[in-house]
Amino acid sequence: MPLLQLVGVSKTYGEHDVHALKQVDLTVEDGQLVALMGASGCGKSTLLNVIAGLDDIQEGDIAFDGISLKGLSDEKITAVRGEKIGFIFQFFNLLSTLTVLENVTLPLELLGRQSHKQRMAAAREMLHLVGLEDRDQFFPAQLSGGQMQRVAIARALIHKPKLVIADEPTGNLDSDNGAMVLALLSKLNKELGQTLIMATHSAEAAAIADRVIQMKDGRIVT
Amino acid sequence: MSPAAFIDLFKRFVLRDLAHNKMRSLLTVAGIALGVSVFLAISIANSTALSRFGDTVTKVSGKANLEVAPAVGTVFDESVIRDIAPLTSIGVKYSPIIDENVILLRRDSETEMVQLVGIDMLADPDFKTYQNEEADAKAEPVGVTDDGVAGKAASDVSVFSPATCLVGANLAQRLDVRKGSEVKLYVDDRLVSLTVADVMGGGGLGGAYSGNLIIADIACAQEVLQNGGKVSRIDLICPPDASAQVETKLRASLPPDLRITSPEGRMEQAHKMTRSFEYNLLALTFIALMVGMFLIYNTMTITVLRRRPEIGTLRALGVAKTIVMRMFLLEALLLGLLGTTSGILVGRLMADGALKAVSKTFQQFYFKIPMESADPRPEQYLLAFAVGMGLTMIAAWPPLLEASSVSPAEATRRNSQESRLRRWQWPFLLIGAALLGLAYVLSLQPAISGFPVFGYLAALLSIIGCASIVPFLLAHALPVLSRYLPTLFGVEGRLAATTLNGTLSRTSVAAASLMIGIAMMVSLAIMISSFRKTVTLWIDQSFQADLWMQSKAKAMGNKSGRLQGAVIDEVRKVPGVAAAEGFVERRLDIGGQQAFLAAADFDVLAEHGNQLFLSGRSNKEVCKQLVGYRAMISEPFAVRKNLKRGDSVTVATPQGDKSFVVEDIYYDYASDLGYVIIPRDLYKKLYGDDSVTSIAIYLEPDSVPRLDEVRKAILDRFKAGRHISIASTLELRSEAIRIFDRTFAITYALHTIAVTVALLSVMNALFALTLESKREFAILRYLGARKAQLSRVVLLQAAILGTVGNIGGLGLGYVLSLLLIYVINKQSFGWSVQYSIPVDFIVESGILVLVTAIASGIPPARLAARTLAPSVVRDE
Amino acid sequence: MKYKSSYAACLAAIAIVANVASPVAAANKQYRKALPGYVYHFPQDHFSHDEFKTEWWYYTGHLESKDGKRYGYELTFFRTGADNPAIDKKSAWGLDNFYLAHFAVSDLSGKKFYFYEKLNRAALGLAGASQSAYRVHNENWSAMQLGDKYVLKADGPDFAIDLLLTDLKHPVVHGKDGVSQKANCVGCASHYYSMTRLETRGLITDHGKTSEVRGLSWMDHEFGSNQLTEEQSGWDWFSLQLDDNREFMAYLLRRADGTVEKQSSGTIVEADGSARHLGLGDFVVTPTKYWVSPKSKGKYPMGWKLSSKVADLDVTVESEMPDQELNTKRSTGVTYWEGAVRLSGKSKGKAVKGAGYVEMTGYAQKFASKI
Repeated sequence: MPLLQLVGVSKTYGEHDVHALKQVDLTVEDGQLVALMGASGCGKSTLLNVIAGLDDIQEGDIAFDGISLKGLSDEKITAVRGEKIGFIFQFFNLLSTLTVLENVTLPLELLGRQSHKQRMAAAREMLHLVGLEDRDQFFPAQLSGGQMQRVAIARALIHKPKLVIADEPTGNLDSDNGAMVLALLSKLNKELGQTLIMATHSAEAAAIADRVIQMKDGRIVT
Repeated sequence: MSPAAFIDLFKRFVLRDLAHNKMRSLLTVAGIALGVSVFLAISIANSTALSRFGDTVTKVSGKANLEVAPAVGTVFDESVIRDIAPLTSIGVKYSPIIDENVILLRRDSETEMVQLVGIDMLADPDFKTYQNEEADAKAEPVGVTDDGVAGKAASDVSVFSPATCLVGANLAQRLDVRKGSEVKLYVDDRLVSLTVADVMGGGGLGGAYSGNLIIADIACAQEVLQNGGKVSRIDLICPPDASAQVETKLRASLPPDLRITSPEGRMEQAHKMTRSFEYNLLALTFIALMVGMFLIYNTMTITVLRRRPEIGTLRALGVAKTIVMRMFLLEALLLGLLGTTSGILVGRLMADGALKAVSKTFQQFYFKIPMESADPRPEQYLLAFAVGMGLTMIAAWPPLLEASSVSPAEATRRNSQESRLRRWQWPFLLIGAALLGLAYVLSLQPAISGFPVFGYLAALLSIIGCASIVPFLLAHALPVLSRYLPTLFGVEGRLAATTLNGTLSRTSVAAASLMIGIAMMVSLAIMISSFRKTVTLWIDQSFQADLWMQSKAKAMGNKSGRLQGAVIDEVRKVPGVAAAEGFVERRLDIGGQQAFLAAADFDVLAEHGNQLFLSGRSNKEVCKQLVGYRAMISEPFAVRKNLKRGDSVTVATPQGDKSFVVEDIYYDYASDLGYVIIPRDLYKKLYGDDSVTSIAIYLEPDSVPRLDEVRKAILDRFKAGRHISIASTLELRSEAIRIFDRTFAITYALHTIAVTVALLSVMNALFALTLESKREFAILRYLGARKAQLSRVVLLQAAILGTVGNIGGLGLGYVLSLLLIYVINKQSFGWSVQYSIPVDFIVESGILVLVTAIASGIPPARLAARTLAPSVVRDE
Repeated sequence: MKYKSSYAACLAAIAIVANVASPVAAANKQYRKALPGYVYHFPQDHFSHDEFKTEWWYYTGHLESKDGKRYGYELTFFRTGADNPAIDKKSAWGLDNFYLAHFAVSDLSGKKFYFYEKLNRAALGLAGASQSAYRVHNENWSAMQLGDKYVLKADGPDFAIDLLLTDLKHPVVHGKDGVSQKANCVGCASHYYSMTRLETRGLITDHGKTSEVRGLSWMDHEFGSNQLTEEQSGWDWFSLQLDDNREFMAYLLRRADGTVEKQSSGTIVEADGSARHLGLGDFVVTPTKYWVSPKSKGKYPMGWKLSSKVADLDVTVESEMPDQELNTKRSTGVTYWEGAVRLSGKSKGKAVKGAGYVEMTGYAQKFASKI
C-alpha cells in the first residue's frame, strides 16, 4: 500500500472558482523523495497543504497511511498531522520566543507523549543529527539562516513522522547553506528512509529527488 | 500633502485598520466611555445635590440679598425684627422665615421628612413668588374633599385660618392631598394636624425642596413647632447701594450670636461642608478614567507596534513624519471622540442612579433637601468632554511619538520595540521606585485648607510608580513561569508565558491596568472594612447605655426633634432605670464652617458612659473635669480646626462669644462636621434651652435582662399624647451599620466599574496578542497543535495577566489603602480608622477577578482557534 | 370720605387671601354692623373700634415749605379684622387684624408723585391701633393724639413727614343718625366723621433735605363691617377746603350698571363748624376733562363742575397734576387715584378759592374686573 495516494483531487478557492488543483492523481510510496516543481502559483503549496490536511478539497480523495482524509474532523486530521507529518518551511517558522531546544521538542509536547526526559533526549539526538547540539539554548534570532533551517528540520523529524513536507526549504538560503540543507535531507531519505515531499524551484533540489513531478496550472504535467 | 490626499491616506491606512480590528476598537471606545460616563454621572450627582440646595435657597429667599441667621442652632428670637423694622425707611424690606424639618405621617402609616416653611404671608410680594395650582388653570374639583365628604365648609379655609397650610405640588400629588385634606406631622414628641388651604404650583417658593414642602403662615408654623417667638431666618432685600450700610448697622444692633450673611454665603458654606465627600467620590471616578487611559495607551501602542513595518513602508514611500503623526493623532481623536461622546450619553443616563445613591448620604450628613432627578449643567458636559478628550490625548501621546519615530528602514524589521522595552525596564524600575519614594514623602505632608492635596498626589504617584515597575516584574517573572508552568499545563503553559514575555510592552500595559483596577478594589475594600469595623467597635465600646430615647420626629430623621428636659426626670422614676443622661445638639456655625454644638450631662456620663479619648484617659477622668467652660470635642472637629487638648474653642451664645477649654478629644464617627460638647447645665444657662435631642438610659444591672419590659414601662409612662421612640443599643448599631453601608454603596459601584474597565483592558490586550501571534499559532497548527490547545494558550495568558494583576493589585492596593485611611480620609474627614484587612472579601474578589480575566480571554481564544494556518504562514 | 378707601381695604384683605388660597367666605368672627343711633364720644371714637371689621384713619393735606415748595400728602392707616382670628395664640404672629398703611406725597412744585405702603400684623408691635388711646401705627409710621394736637409721622426712601396738627373746628359726623349709609340695606353703612380743618405745621424731608412746612389737613375716620355691596363698582370722593372757612365733602358710589348709588351723599361744613347733610339730590358733580393713566390704562376725570344749591356752592375743581395714581400691589392690591386738587368759584355768592383731595376708585381696568 502506498503511503500517500491522491485520486482526482480538485480544489477551488473563493467565489471566483479559481482552480488551484485540477484532477490531481498522485501516489507516493514509503521512502520516496518526491520533488514538486513548477512556476509560482502552479499549485505546489496548495497540493502540500491538501496533503497535510490543512486545506480541504472539493473533489477526489486522499488516503494517507491507510486513512482517508476526506470528511475527517479537524480534530482527527490535526491528530494525523501532529503524529505523522513533519513540516519544513521556506522561512523556517521557528517560534522566536522559544529556545532552539524548546522549538525542537514542541511537536512532542503538543502531542503530550513521552516524559520530559525522553523528549529532551530525542531533541538532543535530533540536534546532533543536524549538527547543532551546541546551540540548544540559543534563541532563533541568534542563529544564521542555515542554522535555523536545520533546527526546523530537527523539529520536523523529532516525532518520527511518516512523511516530511518541505515547502521551498532552500528558498531563503544562500547556495552554501542551501546545499548543506539539501545534503541533510538527502541523507535523511537515503539513510533513515524518511519519506519526503518537497516543493522547490531549484534544480539542485530536484537533483536529490527520486521522482520529480512537474505542475502547471493546478495539474500534474509529468 | 493636500488635505484630500491626507484624508484618503487616513481612510485607507487608519480607518480600514480600525474597521478590521472592530473588537479592539470597540473595547477601547467602551473603556473611554465607561470612564467618562462615571465621571460625568458622579459630577452631575454631586452638583445636583448642591444645585438643589442652591435652588431651594434661592426659591425660599426670593430676591433677598441679605439674611440674618443664628450661629448656633436653627432658630433665634424674633424680637430682633424690632431693630430691623426701622430700616424700611431706607427701602429695606424684611421677612421672617421658619425653615424646619418635620416628619409627615402618611396615610399608609409610613413617615417621610418634609420641610415646613413658615413665612409672613403679609410680607412684601418680592419675598415670595408663588402661585397656587388654580392659577395654573387646573380647576379643583369643587366640594370634593379628602374624605369624600362633599362639604364646602371644609374647603373654605384660608392660610390665615389657624392650623392651615399650603402644600407643594409634588408632595400633594404623591400623597394625593388636596384642598381641605388633613396633613399630619410629627413635631418633637407631638402629632399635629393641619388643614390644606391650597396646593401650590411649582414656580417660586412652591418649587423649593422640589415641591416637597408645606408652607404656612408664620403664626401657624410657630404654633405647629411650638416655638413661639422663634424664627429660622430673617430675609432682607436691601437696595443694592445700601447693603453695606445695612450690614454694618445690623452688626452693630443685632445680638452677637446672629450671623448676617447672604443666600450665596449659605450656598458657599454648603459647598465647603460637602466638599470632602464630593471630591472623594470624584477621585474614585478618576481611577476608572485612568484605567481607561491605559486602555487607549494600550490600543494605540499595539497599533503602532503592529504596524511599524507598514509605517516604515509609508515612510519609505515618502510620507513625511508629521503626516504619520497626524494620522495617528486623528485616530486617537476619533477613538476619544467616540468614547467620550458615548460616555457622555451613558453618563447622563447613569446620573439619576448616581444621584439616588449619593442623595441619602447628603441628606444624612449634610442637608435635608429632596433630590429626585439629576440636574446637569452644560458646563459639566463640556468638562466631561474635555476630560475624556484630554486624557485620551495624554494616553495617546507616547504611541504617537513612537509612530513618528519609525524610520523608513524599519519597513523590513519586526518587533524592534521589544528589545527596547527590555532595555528600558531598569530605568522604569528606577523611575517607579523614585515615584513611590516621592509618594511616601508626600503622604507625610499636611492637608492644604482641609483638603488632602498631597494625599491624592501620593495616590496618583503610587499608581504610576507601581505601573512603572510592572515591566521589570514581568520581565523577570515570565521566564520563571515559562520554566515551571509546563509541568502544570504542558507546552501551552510555556507558550503562554514565552509569548507574553516576547511582547512585554503590551503585556505590561494590560497587567498594569488590571493591577490598578484591582488595587482600587482592594484599597477601597480595606478602607471600607476597616472603617466599618472601627465604627462597630466604637459603638460597642462607647455606647454604654441600654436604651436610647428620642422624640418620634427625631427617630424619623428630623435632627431638630426634641424632648422636654423634664422628660429625663420622668424616665429616672421608672423602676429599673439606674440613670438617664440628657444630650442635646444644635447646628453650629463656627468660623463660617458647619459643625455641631452639643451638651451632655457629664456627671451621669462619668459614672455610666465610656467615651474613648485620643489621650487614652479614662471616661471618668475626663468627664469629671468637664465642669464650667470646658468642652470635649470630636476628633473630626479637632482635625479640621487643628485643635489640641488645652486649646480653646469659641462658640457664639446669646450672651456673646464664650470660650471653652478643650478638655479632651474623643473618637467619633457620627459626623465629619464635628462636635463640641459642653456641660448641659451651662448650656441651659447660656442658651435658655432645657430641651434634649436624646436621652441615654442606663438600667440597673438586674434589669438589663428585662430590657424590653423596662422599655415598655417607659413608653407607657409617656403614652398620653407623646410620641417617643426608644431604641436598644443593638438596634442603634444595626441602624448605624445600615447607614454606613448605604453611604458606601456608591463606592462599591464605582470600583466595580473600574475593575470592569480593567478587564476590558485585559481583553483588549489579549486580542492584540492573539492577532499578533497569528503566525505562531499557524505554525503550531502545522506542527499538529489542536484548536483547543491554541485556546488554552490564550486562556493561560489571560490567567497569567489576571494573576500578575492580582498580585500587583494587592501590593498597590495595600499602599493605596494606607493612603486612603491614614492620609486622605484622615485629612478630609478627620476620622481615625483602625486598619483591618477583609481577607475573605479580597480572596473572593481576587478569585472572581481571575476567573473574569480568564473569561475575558474566551473571545480572543476563539479567535486563536480559528487561525487559518496556510494563509498566515505564507504571508511572510 | 375715606369710604372708598375702606372699600379698598376690604378688597385688599380679600385680595391677599384670594391670592394665596380660597376666599374666606364664612366668617367665624361676627363683627358689629354700623347701625343708626350710634352716639359719638370724643376722644374715644378716635380710638380703634376692633368690634368692627374695617376701619381707617385718613389724612390728606396741602403743605408749603418756607422756600415756597408746595406738596400734597396722604397718610392712611387701615385696619381689617381677620375672619378667623386665632384663639389662644401661642405665636405673636397670630392674626387678629391686618394693618395696612399708605403714604403718598405729591410734589406739586416738581410735579412728581411718590407713594409707599405697608402691610403688617400686630406681632412684635410692628403695627397696631390702640383701643384705649388715639395711637395708630404701622412700623415707624404713626398718627396719634398728643394733648389737643395730633402728630403724624411717615417716611419712605425719598420723603418723610413729621407733622403737628391742630383741629380748628370740631369733628363733623357724616350721614344721618350716626351712620353714613353706603347702600340700601341694613348695616350697609359705616360710622364716619371728619376733622375738616386741621392747621398743620412741621417738617418735610424731600430727598434728604428737611424743611419746615405749614398747611392745612383733613382727617377722616370711618369704621364699619361689610358696608359695600357687590353691585358697586367704585366711587368718587371729594374733600374741599374753601378759603372762606367752609368745607365740603361728598362721595358718589358708582354702580356697575352705570348709575350712581342712591345712598351717595355729602356734607357741607360752615365756617362756624356747623354741618349739614346733603342727599344725592342736593348737589351735582359733572366731570369736565379726563386723563388716561399710562400705567393702569384707567381713564380718570381730572376736572369737575360741582354745584349745590342747598350749600350755595358753585365751583370748578381740577387736579393739581394728573399722575397721582397709587398701585398698591403689596397691601391692598387696588389701584386708585388719590390726589391734590385746587378749586375756584363761588361760595355763598362770593368768589372763593380752595384746595382739597379727590379719591377715585374703580377706574382702572384691573379694579373693575376684580369687582
